[in-house]
Amino acid sequence: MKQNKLYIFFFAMNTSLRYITLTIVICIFCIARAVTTPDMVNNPKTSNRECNIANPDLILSLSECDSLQTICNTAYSTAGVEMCIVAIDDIGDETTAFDFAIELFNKWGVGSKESNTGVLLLIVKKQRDIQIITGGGIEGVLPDARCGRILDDAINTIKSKGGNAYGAGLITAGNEILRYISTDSARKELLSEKEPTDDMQGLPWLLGGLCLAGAGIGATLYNSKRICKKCHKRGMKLISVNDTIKATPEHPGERIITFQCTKCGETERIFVQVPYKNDEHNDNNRGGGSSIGNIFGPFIGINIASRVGRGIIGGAFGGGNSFGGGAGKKF
Amino acid sequence: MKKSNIIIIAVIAVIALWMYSSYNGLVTAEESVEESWSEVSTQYQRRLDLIPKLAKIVAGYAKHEKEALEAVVNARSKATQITIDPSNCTPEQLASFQKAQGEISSALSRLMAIQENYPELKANKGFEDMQVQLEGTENRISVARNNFNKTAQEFNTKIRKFPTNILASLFGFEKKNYFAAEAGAEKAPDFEF
Repeated sequence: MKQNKLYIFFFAMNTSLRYITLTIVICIFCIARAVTTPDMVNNPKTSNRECNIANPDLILSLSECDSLQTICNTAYSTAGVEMCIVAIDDIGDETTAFDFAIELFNKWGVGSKESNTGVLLLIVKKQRDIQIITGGGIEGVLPDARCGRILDDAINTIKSKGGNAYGAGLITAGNEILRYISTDSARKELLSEKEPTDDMQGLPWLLGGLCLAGAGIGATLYNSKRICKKCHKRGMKLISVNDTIKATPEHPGERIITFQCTKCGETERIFVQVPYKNDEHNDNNRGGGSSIGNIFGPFIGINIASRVGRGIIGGAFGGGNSFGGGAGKKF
Repeated sequence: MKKSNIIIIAVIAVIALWMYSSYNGLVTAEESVEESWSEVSTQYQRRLDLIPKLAKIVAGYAKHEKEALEAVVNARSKATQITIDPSNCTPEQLASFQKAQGEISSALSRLMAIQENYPELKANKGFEDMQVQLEGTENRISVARNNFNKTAQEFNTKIRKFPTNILASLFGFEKKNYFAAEAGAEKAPDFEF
């Protein structure tokens, strides 16, 4: 009844008034739409695999994004920590910044499934809230109280620069996180490999697994002969693996892998970067003998190196989940 | 004669295979409910462990706030008496568990509110850290509870769907209870004007 009256009223107006009303209605719609929900924020990795920053409302400047991306890349290369930074203008009053952040964290799976050492930093401009969400595997290095202090420092930066320096605040927080995760003891904890969880069960799985494993070994053996660039036959055979530079905590190592074609004799040398893991692993992969370990060792090496080399800089996301660790503060 | 035998054997084999896989599926689902429950109780326990430390710090600064302190300690001791097993508890038991924990939440938020009257307490680094830890624990509790509700709901849907429901009633899989209210609802009556 009331709506009907409004409807008649709308058409009884003259044209200019009608346009003004329409404009007002559209404006109200636009304002209402400015509230961002977690579904509206795109995973930065889907559009650009080298990007860890979601900045849909353009709160961060280009140079700030650059510095933050460098922080994310360093975090991944030194400690395998996948960082994600999100800056939002307005999340509305329906949700809290924590709920918003944890939804993004678990939706995107910041971190890897094995280590689960993802970190998400969220800043919300209108609600003036900043949050750190930590993955299950990094809670030991970044306990809540430490996250709280990191946020205190970030807020101090924001306030000392006039209260609107959101990017600078995030950079402060990012650098501090970097400082904590790059100490030797922290890296030892973060880079230690977790035992894979055993979720296989029952005989069918075992049989299927055996078939898959057989196929996998077959495929690996088949693929171990690369296609020769000269004669285009699958004849390239592994000859030697040499570590020219050993990986250190500061620099990735370099490895030269030499192949020779059994069909035409062509040799090919591949340079790969080997990220620092820990000492035992590097020792296992060295040398060029003929044991099984040494056949497969280099290929695992290539895998890791090509993942970094192909540009999933700062991690790939997709496996992490958070139990709610971290901290949040209003500023 | 022979043909029918083969058919019967094949049908039995198919049924056996189906029973095998769906029974295992139910067991896995029940295990994941229990696992998510253990996460919930771990987080509640974490909060219970924080309370004595918090009480100690607050008592050092705010000697006149005996009431608020005692309320928290009493709520804590009441809550420690209620431990439940989600695999065989009644909705009432879960509700009483929830109520006891809810009382801790409201007692704690009243205790945290007194910091406004004690600037020295508010500035204490240990208290500040404690506050962050407490907030973090509340966050973890809400995440763990949501997770538990989700897995319990999945399990309940599973055992009600045909034809798994036949198997579930055969082997005595029972419906799981889950948390009724939102975490925020129990904190609502904090504001008294």
